[in-house]
Amino acid sequence: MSEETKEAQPTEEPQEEKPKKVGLQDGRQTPVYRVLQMVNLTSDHQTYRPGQIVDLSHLPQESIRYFLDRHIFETADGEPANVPGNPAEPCKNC
Amino acid sequence: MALPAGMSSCAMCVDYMIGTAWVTVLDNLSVIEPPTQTRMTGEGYVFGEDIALTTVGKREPVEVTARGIWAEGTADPFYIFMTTFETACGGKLALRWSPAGCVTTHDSFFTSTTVSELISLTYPGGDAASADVLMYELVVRTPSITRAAWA
Repeated sequence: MSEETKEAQPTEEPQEEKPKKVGLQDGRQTPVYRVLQMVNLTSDHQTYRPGQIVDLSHLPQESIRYFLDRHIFETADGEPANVPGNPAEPCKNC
Repeated sequence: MALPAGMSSCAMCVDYMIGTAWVTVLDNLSVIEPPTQTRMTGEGYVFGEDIALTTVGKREPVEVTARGIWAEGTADPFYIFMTTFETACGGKLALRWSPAGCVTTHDSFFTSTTVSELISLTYPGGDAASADVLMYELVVRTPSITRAAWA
């Protein structure tokens, strides 16, 4: 029996990692947004097209509100196309 | 009437894309010449009028010229552009620039990410009577330029 459990352990660990959740460190899931107009995210410098789902956790809430008011994003459900993270460094002087 | 907020391009961001990901070259490129896109036009004349009958057609392709400061060593993006240019029958390369910087709420303009092609490359040269930095130039031809906001 002990051999079975030993063999089973390595296969169970990757299974737990499979569901890719975008979450805060305390386990809560962050809201995601649907792109309505073409945008570049400062977090990864990539372009996202209308219809794609993105995570905007790199933005402060006021900025998200700004973009929602201008119909650049809308609230949505789904798996984000981007990897959440901090804003990328490229802009040095602005 | 209030003056509009003036902006300068001193903080402009420039990226290129070969494939699917944008790569920043703001430390290498120096100038993006603003392209002018036009539409095809037509005209005709009739005997009974003294002015032309004018028509407008589709948007014509545009060429975006970028100039970069060249440095020795294969790490310089010039060599990436050169490799792309040497691709038989043309290499795909898209350019993106953000005139007022790549921070949230600012805009970027980019050439088509699927069909833009590098059609011209000017190699770095030299002049013994000059202390100017060595530069190169590339031209990207694209059917469209698209705007996207930074978020």
